[in-house]
Amino acid sequence: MTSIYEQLGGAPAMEKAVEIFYRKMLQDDRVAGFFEDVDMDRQAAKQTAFLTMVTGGPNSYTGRDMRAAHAHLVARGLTDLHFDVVIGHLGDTLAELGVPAELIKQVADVAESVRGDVLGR
Amino acid sequence: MAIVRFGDISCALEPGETVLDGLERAGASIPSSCRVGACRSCLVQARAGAPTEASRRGLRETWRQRGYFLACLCRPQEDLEIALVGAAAERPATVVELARLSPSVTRVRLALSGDRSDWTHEPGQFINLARADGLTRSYSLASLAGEPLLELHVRRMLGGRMSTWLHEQVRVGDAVRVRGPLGECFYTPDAPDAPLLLVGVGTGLAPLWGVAREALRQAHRGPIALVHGARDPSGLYMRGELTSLARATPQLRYIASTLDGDDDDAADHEPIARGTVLDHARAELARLGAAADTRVFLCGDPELVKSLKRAMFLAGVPLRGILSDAFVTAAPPAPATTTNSA
Ligand SMILES: Cc1cc2nc3c(=O)[nH]c(=O)nc-3n(C[C@H](O)[C@H](O)[C@H](O)COP(=O)(O)OP(=O)(O)OC[C@H]3O[C@@H](n4cnc5c(N)ncnc54)[C@H](O)[C@@H]3O)c2cc1C
Ligand code: HEM
Ligand code: FES
Repeated sequence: MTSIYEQLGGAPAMEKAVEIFYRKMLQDDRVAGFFEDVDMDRQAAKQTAFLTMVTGGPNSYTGRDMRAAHAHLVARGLTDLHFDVVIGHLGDTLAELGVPAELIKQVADVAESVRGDVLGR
Repeated sequence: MAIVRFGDISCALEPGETVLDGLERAGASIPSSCRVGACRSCLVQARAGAPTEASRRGLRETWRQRGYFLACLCRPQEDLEIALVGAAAERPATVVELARLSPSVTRVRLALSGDRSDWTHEPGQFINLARADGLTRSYSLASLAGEPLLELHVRRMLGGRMSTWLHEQVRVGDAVRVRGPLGECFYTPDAPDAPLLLVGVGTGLAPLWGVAREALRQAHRGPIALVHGARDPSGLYMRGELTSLARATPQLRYIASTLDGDDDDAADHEPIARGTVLDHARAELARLGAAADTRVFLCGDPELVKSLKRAMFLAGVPLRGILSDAFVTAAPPAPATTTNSA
């Protein structure tokens, strides 16, 4: 079965998705603060990693990596609320790119599977 | 704990310490300026051992292959043996012209010594300028590659070592050294119809003056807007040259903007536009046409460059369409700002 990552068009399509997704995050006051102090190009690279991972593209992240990557954010108050906001923007981004609802659901399920690690529980 | 060796100096790094900090603590002298990865003064080569990815990010592939990395960003996990790389690429030069462009800006023109046939740069790139005593700072190139002298615009900073020297002490005929050219903030002719938006604050004009003239030299066809911002009119400079160029070039718009202050001699200049450089940048972006096709160049004060970058991205310019040079100074970083996330 081809991954959603491949169906979207692989790495080149990710760049477009990241632009849309990242704009949504920066414009949402509920989560923008987490992305405030970081270099934009570096941040975009991490968003690419995020989208590649949740759409089933090539990545080698483990739950432990997710725990480590977000630990400093948990310390700054990252909660389920923020997690839900991110999943919402993720779904909207994919919808804008024409991904059908049932595939978006699959992506959201992948994201859900790391909720505990991201939130450090 | 990682051991770093450099010549006959050997140093055991403290936890979290950078290669630059460690070697300086051990008495080594490594060129440096910004200490945050912006100026590339501290480029060194790993002779043995692997530098961290973070210290190599953004370096061109040929450099990576040679083991080059930035000492100010490297907190190595393993032992390293390093060497300086600058000496080969460093050239002697002479200060040949000094001109006060405004109370706070001096134009410095340099002649590279000896054979300069192998020198080439893109206007908008920067050089690392070293004084005889080794003090090194980055300055952007306002001159075109074909022009015989390298042109820099230096803003005087209160208590700044290099800028004060360049404003007060340096004399025509003094010897300096030049490393570079460095940086990716320059015009490329791959999209001749793209709108170009150039936004600079203070001496952020230096690279943009180079970029604008280079684009015109390469017969760029798209519209070009150049926004130069300053706090008050004394911070603006080269208004005469820019006004003349814009009047002679229908595709070029020039906007000089300040927050406040009286405009003394508006007769032969474009009048000053009031307001923040951010607002002017947004307005010009909208006027230029499709944000998704626009190439944006942002130079000058790091905080402003950061907010401009964000504003341009949110207005629809793709990240890859935004080139920027933040004029990071060597001053200690300001305390982290609080966010509105909690
Ligand atoms: C890529 C790049 C391109 C650049 N291009 C240009 C250019 O074209 N034109 C230009 O004018 N500049 C440019 N700069 C900035 C330039 O490199 C220098 O940083 C600037 O000229 C100041 O150097 P200085 O030696 O005069 O000041 P420094 O001695 O380094 O001091 C910098 C400032 O910090 C303050 N300061 C220093 N130490 C302390 C301390 N301990 N506590 C509090 N404050 C302190 C000083 O008062 C001063 O205002 C560029 C920088 C970069 C990274
Ligand atoms: C939905 C589940 C999530 C996944 C799969 C995920 C995935 C990732 C990945 C792969 C990285 C890059 C790690 C690295 O290479 O260093 C990352 C970094 C980051 N994530 Fe997430 N993330 C998730 C949720 C969130 C949430 C909810 C937030 C905050 C609202 C967030 C904010 C960040 C930030 C700010 C970084 C960068 C941290 C840094 O700069 O070091 N993430 N994430
Ligand atoms: S890049 Fe290391 S000191 Fe500037």
